[in-house]
Amino acid sequence: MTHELLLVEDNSHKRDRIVSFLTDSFPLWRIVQAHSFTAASRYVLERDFSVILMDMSLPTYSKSEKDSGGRFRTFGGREIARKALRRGIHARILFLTQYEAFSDQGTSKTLQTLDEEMRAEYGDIYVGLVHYDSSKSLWKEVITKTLNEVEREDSDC
Amino acid sequence: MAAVYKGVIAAHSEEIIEFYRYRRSYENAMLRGNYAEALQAIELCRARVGESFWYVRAMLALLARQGKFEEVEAFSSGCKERFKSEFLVFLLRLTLLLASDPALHFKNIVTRTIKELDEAHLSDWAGLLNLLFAPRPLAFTTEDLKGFSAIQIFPAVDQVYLLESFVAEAIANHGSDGDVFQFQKIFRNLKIAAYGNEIEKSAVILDRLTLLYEQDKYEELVATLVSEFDKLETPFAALNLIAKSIANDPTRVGPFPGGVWESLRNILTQVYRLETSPAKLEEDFLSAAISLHSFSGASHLQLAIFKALPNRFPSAQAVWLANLAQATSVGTALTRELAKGADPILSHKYLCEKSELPNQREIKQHIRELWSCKKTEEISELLIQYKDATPLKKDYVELTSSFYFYTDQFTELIQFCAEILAVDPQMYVALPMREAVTHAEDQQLSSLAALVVFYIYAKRVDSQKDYLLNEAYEEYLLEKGVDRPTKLISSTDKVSPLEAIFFRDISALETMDYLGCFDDSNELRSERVKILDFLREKLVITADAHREEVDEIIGQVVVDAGAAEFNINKIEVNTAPIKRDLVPDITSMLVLYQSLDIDSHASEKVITVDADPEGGDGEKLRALVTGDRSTALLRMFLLIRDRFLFDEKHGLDKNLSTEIRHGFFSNLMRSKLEEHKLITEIDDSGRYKANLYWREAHAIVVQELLDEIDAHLAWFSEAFNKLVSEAEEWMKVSRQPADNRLFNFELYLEDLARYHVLAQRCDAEEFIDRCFDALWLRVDECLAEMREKLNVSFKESINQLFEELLGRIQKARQNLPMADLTGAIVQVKNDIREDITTASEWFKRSESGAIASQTVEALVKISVECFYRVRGVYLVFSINMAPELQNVLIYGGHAKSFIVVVVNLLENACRGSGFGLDTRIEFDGAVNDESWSLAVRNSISQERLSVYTDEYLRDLDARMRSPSSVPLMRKEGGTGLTKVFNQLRLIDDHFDVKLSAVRGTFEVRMVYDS
Repeated sequence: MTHELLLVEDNSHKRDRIVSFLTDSFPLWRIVQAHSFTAASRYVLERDFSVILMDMSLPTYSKSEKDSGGRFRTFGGREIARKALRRGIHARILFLTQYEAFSDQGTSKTLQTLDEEMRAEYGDIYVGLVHYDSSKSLWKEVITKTLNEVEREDSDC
Repeated sequence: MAAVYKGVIAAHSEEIIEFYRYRRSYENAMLRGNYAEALQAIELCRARVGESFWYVRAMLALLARQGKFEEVEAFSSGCKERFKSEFLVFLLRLTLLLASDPALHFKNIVTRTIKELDEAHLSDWAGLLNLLFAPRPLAFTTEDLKGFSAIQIFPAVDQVYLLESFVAEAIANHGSDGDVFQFQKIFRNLKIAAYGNEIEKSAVILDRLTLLYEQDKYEELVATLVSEFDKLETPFAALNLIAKSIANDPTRVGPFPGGVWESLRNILTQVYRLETSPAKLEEDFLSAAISLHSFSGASHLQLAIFKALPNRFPSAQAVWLANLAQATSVGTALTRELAKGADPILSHKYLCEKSELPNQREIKQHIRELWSCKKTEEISELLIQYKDATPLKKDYVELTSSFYFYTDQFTELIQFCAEILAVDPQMYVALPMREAVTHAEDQQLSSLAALVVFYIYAKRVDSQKDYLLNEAYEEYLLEKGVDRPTKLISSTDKVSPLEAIFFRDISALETMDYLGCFDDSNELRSERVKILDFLREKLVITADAHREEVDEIIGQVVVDAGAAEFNINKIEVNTAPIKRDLVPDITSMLVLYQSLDIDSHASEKVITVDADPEGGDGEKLRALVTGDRSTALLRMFLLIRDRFLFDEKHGLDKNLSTEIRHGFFSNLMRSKLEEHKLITEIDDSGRYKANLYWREAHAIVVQELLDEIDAHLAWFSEAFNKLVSEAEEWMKVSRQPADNRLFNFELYLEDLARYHVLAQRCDAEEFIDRCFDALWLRVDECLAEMREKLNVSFKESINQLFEELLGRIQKARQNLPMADLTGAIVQVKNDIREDITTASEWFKRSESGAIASQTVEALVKISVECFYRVRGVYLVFSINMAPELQNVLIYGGHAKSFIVVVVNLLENACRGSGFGLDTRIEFDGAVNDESWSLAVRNSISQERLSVYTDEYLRDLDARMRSPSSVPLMRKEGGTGLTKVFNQLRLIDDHFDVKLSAVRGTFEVRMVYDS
């Protein structure tokens, strides 16, 4: 069975690194890319993904020569996850972020706080929130574990 | 511990009784405004019972109240010398800070310190600070306080009144029994010994005052209050009675002019009338509560705002506070009912017989009686009667919304809330917003009324709930079968208030961008412009408001249109929405500023206070203990500065964070290293992984040498990452001097002095603009410093790092060539210099620099493109430019304004031609000696042609020039050609505009005469 993964990431360097890792490590998975909140929202509502791998902070629209990307949404990934949940979509959701903390309307949230909030809010579909640091390899391990689990569950079915 | 305190009280009972007496004299004199008497009381107190921390606070409050700031400084210096305990000196510093600007320093210093002490598990000291400075629950939680033993650092009299506060809190939390009950009895006896048996009459006096209030016998009410003032256990308990009486009839004169009582009463009166911003009134009240927190009966003072705004705060807090107040001293009938948990709006009963009540209260009482016996069917009709009878709209809103809430009529409640809020958004404090939103969220409501409630809640109560608005908005449109709001625009003439708020406020860019229907920012902006056109056509917004927002949108488009430069200059603060949010607050603060006594400004004095007792991190805080005017000015400036720097959506820190710090900078710096495999990752144990690429490339080399090379590359990776992290630290914003941050926005006193002049003559918009100008100047300095630092210091450090790596590799490789590795290092060393230069160029303002100096023709083309992006239609146009005009360049900083002018002319042409978006446009550029001109000509339909007479053009020309000066235009706005004319004059005084109509066309010629 071919799995589809939606990768939502606006930073081309980070995106390239993730895609390169995914294609090397999971060649059978089909990778669909979105560069913005709106593009990802549309994909999430239109297609059935096994895993959604998202940056937490995203521009509203895809950046181009004629568009600076609109408003930058600190919790754009979280908003997409809520949209998915409200529409009954059950893809596994994993966040990859380069931020160590998030400032939300004057309140600072650590990765741990945010992780706890989302775990409570999204339940089983939420896999986790991983700090992406290109100098470290933890993020690769978490992705590997998640995708392996999805493959294993499907083969058990 | 309880036994110890009982011992202290027994041993010092005489002193304590005297202390209570003087404290009461001081407090009542302060409330009445008799400051000489207040001074006498505290000096006598010190002479009789010795110096206490209470004495210090009382003296500082008295001096600050009178504006004697030089004496504040002298007094506090003396105290510092006398105090032996460092902690007491620290408490003195906090007291000083709070005396200068209570709300500001409470938020910035006191709450932060309490949090830090708690996090360091020093809960006794955190508890003590809470007890001393924090009005609870108004500004803090209701959790059990610790710090019972910490109060021993104070003299006996301080220990006793702090202990009394502890006991009152314990009763509010757990009831009165055991030790607590015994202490309560001890304090009661001490007070009777101090004040005499009159204290027992307090309840009777309060009931008498309440009866007089209920019967609206104002003169008698005030006379009784004045005569019985000193017999009241706490005069704060009677505040609401007078405040609301005056709110009902603002011509009434309040008691104790010039005293603290009057200031408090005045805030509460405004709260009842809700004619000014509730957020500002709440802050004013909080400031007062912080300043007077050491007064006996301070909990009654806090309770006053809970009584005035019963729907604003959680009812559990009101119950807790009422119990705290009751445990301290006797309150009014309303306090007693609140303490029992009764609803103060529907369940409260007047003490007075119904027959003696004035009409409005009689109706209210009738409604309450019907409610209590569940005869709800008649209530709706009575509510209408009450609406007409009560002079305070807030009372009607509270009563009606409570009725819907308690009868579970949530649909009606949400509809009522929405209709009230659509007309008067400030009424959110009078409505049960939390309950309405909780219901709407639970039921996933997405009606128009629910949208309005969500909108006001997110805007005014809790901005973290904005996702509810976004989701309900999307759902609302889906249910209507449309994907965007303009598809709901109907041809009906009238726009209801709910529709008006839906289109004008809710359907803003930042709500609509949640919808997935727009492909890009331009389509989104175009939608907003269509909405604005509709709103103007229906007279929901003025032409000025329409023009202002459209210009702002055009400005955004122009910035995007400079796309070639976009990725170079990254620094941007979108000041327009920040300014929009700030204007209401700054307007009222300016009114306050301008109303304050100018003399207090003349006598202002600045005292520098070290906020950190240990001086641990070297951070200093300047407390401006100044006249009221300076305090008001400081608050305005700090409000503007903090929004400019830290606004969550549009501020500088957000920009630096999202555009540069998080990812972009480090990614760019590492990209070449990664490409050449010179940097490795950290593994789980925190160590850098082996560089397999170069190990494999040199597989034939002996293991020891490979290990050594690997170790050097790991060392390099670590050192490189450290340098990048340090550079990222430079890119952070700081309010205070910080060695490692370059974006430092410390406020200097000489800066503040300049703003006094502005605050006296500017309106809010201009004042904000000037503050932004000053902040931009500072940003420019920081950006220049940042570019310098990256290009010199950072580049040099990186260079040295590479040199050292090369040296190490050179040494390690011995005679082996390893040309690929050393070549890669040299290559990246050179390339990375370019990358640093690129990154340093990010530190330029994107707005001003987005478009470099351009020819007139280039700007005309960008303008037509911008018009297309805003309107979604390409105009049919022709350009005829004299070749010499290619030599005329519009300076980059003015390019945006010029484009906005041309787009405005295009808008104007389409509106006036009679052809709408099919209007044909001709651009005609000419050069003549010392001048050049650009004509924008549009075709005119046969129907419209007759309008363009000479007289019409003369009138148009006169109106265009009517705001006789550019400064006037700033205030008066202006539309169409007026705006064009003034906008050009703002760019350069040498611009003029000439109007003419020839051969079926209308021509606007912009002439620049040097």
